[in-house]
Amino acid sequence: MLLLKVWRDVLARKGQFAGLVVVVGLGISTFVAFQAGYLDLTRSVERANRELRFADFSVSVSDTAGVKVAAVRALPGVLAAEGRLIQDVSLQLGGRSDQTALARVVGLPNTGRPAVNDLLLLAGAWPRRGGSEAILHVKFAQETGTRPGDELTLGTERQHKHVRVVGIAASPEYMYAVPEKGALPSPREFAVLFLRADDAERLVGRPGVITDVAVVTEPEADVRAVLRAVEDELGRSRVVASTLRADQPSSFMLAEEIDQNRVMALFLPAVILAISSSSLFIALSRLVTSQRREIGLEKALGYSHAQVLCQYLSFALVVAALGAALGFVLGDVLARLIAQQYVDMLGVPFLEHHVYPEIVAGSAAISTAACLLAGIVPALRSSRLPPAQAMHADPNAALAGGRVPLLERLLSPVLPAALVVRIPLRNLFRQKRRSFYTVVGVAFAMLLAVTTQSMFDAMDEMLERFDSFSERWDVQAVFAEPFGRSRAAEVAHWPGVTDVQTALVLPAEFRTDGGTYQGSLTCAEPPAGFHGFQIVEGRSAQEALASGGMVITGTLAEKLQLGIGDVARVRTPVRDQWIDLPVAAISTETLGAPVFVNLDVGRRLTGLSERYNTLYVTTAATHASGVKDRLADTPGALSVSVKAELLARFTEMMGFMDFYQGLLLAFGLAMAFVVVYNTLNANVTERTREIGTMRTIGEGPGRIAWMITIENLLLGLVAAPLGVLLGLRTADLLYAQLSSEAFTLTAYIKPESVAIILVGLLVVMLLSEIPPVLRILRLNLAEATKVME
Amino acid sequence: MSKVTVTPESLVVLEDVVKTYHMGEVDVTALNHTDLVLDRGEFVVILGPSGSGKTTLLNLIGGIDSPTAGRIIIDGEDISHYGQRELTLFRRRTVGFVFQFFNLIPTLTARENVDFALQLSGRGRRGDDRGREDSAHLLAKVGLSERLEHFPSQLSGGEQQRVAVARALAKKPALVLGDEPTGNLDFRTGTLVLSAMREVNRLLGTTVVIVTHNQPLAAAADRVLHFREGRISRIEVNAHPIPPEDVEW
Repeated sequence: MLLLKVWRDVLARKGQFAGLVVVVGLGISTFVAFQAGYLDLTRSVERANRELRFADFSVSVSDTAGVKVAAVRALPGVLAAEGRLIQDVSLQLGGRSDQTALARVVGLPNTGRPAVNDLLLLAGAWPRRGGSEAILHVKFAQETGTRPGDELTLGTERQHKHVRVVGIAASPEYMYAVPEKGALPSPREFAVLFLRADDAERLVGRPGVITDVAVVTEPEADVRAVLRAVEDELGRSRVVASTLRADQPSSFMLAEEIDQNRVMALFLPAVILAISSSSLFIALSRLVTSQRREIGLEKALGYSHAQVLCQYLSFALVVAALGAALGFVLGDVLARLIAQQYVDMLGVPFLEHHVYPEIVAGSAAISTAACLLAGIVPALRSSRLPPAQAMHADPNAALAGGRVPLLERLLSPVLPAALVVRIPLRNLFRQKRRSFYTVVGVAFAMLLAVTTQSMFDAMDEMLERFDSFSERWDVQAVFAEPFGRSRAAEVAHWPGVTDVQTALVLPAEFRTDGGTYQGSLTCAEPPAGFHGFQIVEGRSAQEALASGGMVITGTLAEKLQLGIGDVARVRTPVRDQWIDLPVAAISTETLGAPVFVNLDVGRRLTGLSERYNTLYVTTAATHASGVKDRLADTPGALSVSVKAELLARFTEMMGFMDFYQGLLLAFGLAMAFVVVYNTLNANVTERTREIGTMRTIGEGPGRIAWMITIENLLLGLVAAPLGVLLGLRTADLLYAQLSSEAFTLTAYIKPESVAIILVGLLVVMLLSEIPPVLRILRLNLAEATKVME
Repeated sequence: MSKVTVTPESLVVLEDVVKTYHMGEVDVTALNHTDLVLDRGEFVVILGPSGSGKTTLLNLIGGIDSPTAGRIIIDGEDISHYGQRELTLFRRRTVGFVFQFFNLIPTLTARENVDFALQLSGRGRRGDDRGREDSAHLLAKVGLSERLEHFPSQLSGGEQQRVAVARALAKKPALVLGDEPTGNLDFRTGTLVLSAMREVNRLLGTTVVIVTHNQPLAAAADRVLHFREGRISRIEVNAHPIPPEDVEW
């Protein structure tokens, strides 16, 4: 019989019940969407790595004579190995020098497909040997609209050579298409071309050269042990750098993305489920309050504590069951969308979408736990009510202590005397717990909106900082071979050029007792004015560089367990010599984890003197494009980037995040809507007689709606700043988890974003008033004034 | 042709009023072709069993319900076809209500409950001293001058109902309607409330209509309307109504 009553309660509160199911459903759907999306993405990447035989490690070699790939293949633990020529050249799109990109030429076996780092051909065909034919990586092809049959012009050592694109393919090595770790992904500026080995060698003018040996190990093999064996086989003096899969640029960046996805998959559902739970708690508390008399009657008739407890827990469980079902269906659709978005964005060639039994079970368990957690307190309260007390009016219905709230007394001199203003204020204090939970619910919804928006604002801020503080140049040119000062002096006289600075930027390996890191090392004259340093520890950048020490980022210092004065061993591929470098300063960098030293250190590491490979040019804004063209035409120019274009393309690429922004903001606002709707709906239900009386004695529905609005606004006034503060704090915690060597985010939200969120909240609150206000308009006054409360 | 005789003293006029409720698939006629005239200053008690139509009549003349057919004229206004907004203004201007369950606003003190009605009527809208004095004066009239700043939860049932009477009178309405105003009170407090309503009726000339099951109250009325099956079955006129304090039940 009590279950029948539960069902009737559900029917009697259809709107409120549906709201709760939606809130729980949204919470569960976030859990399913992000968890399944994360697993889908992970599985998709794993499948790509497995099916395309992504190398477990690769070894760069310098002295290429006599590289015995066959001997490497024969080593224990090696499943497959490929020796390849890899070389960066410049590329002119359609032969136009103003559209240049860095092109990485990668050799393929002269026949058949590579046993390691295979390609997934998406269009066209495999290249023929001897035909100057190439397969182009899909990312660049998509960005530039290049198709099979198109011709590309490559610039190598003062010559322009043409290759014909015959196929478009995805590669496990370049799913995240970056030339090096920590680089800003800019697919338009980085092309990967796969040519038959003979053609590749001929193209770059290095016949018979192998620069890289990529290895897939046996499934059970100790990868590091196999790597050591391969290094021994190749000859340690010949090894420039060994890169495990985890450190491979694409793999590293992908792992970062996936890890961020994992953090988000834990964080967002937790927040949304907390909101769902609090909303359900509020609703159930109100159900119990509004049914005090019925509870009293049930107990007077002989129903036990346990039966009454079960009755209200059943209500929560019905919400949990329907919420889980709704959440799972919606979440599965969203998971597919999320995985698809990520797979497209990251260039993962396969999409694995599954229904995960653990997630189905998890959603059911979380939904049940959240609803039981929310329901247990009100249900216990209901079961413990003594019948006689329950059948009397709720003492909470009046102001506690029969006193005007302190806040009103304090504000009395400035508060309007009109009771239409004072009644809403007192209603807040009438049931403090209810007001508290409403504030918490709305603040949580704000938290979600603020944290989400903060991610985008922080990203904007990071780019803004990159543009205006960190990178103090307009055009950057990287050259294939080092050059002397004269080139900088020459560029300085070009029209529109206001400043030229030089640096030697090298790949480098850093080793400490705490770990190893492969990244880039920038050697420049102090104070390296093309870069803005935010030093957090140690000397100033000028002093640190002048002292011969390193300036490293906080994240790298943490990874390598380095403090000021500690020493790291450093080596570059140019020369097989390790040197010890002390940490002189620790800086905060927004993007990447660059390490800076002075040019003397660069010379010690490379053996080169007065040689640079990178120009940082400052120009008048209108001349940037012209300077870029001239630099691109300069012999040996590998890649030329205009900072403004880089940032614009990165921003454009990040456009896919709009989907998440929209989704999460919609979730936040939907949550706010349901929380406020449930609150107001319950407010009107609980105060039916009071509102009916006001209307009967002549109060217009408009003024009653105004009173509800004031009450709502007051709640919002408390909840909004709390939500903003909690949101920023949460963003801080979240970013601490998300930040890595690749980038560092700091919690930040633009004032205009806060304003937009507040307006959104206001609109949501006003919209959520509509159903209760319509109820007030339709109130049967004759019945409402007779309701026993 | 109208069956009722309307004079300048007539405050409430019902002409052939019908009220039918749709209850699922059944139509229930709560008021069946009723004609009635109530004069200014009358103290009227309506008696009848449950479902006889007495509360429906009160709802109709109070403007919280509309008739299915017929005309209802209150103080010269035909409210039969009024919309929500006009009925709200009508109730605000013309009618004071006293409910069985007092229906005070729990977050307002006794004085503020009366202020609320005053502010509604346009007097004391800004809660000025005059408005506050008026509220205090009205509450003093119903014997609550010591309980002005108490909240409803701190008042007894009788006290709450007397606040409700003061609230009903705050607007200086032409008509005060009481729906079982003593129904939730004991004899002593019920008498106090009834006395307060009678006194207002005498001193201010306010027309008071009380719906009740409580037969003895009829002795205090100028006129008693007996309802049965949606019609007025009998009208009694008391030439010498007894003072409410002498009524016993």
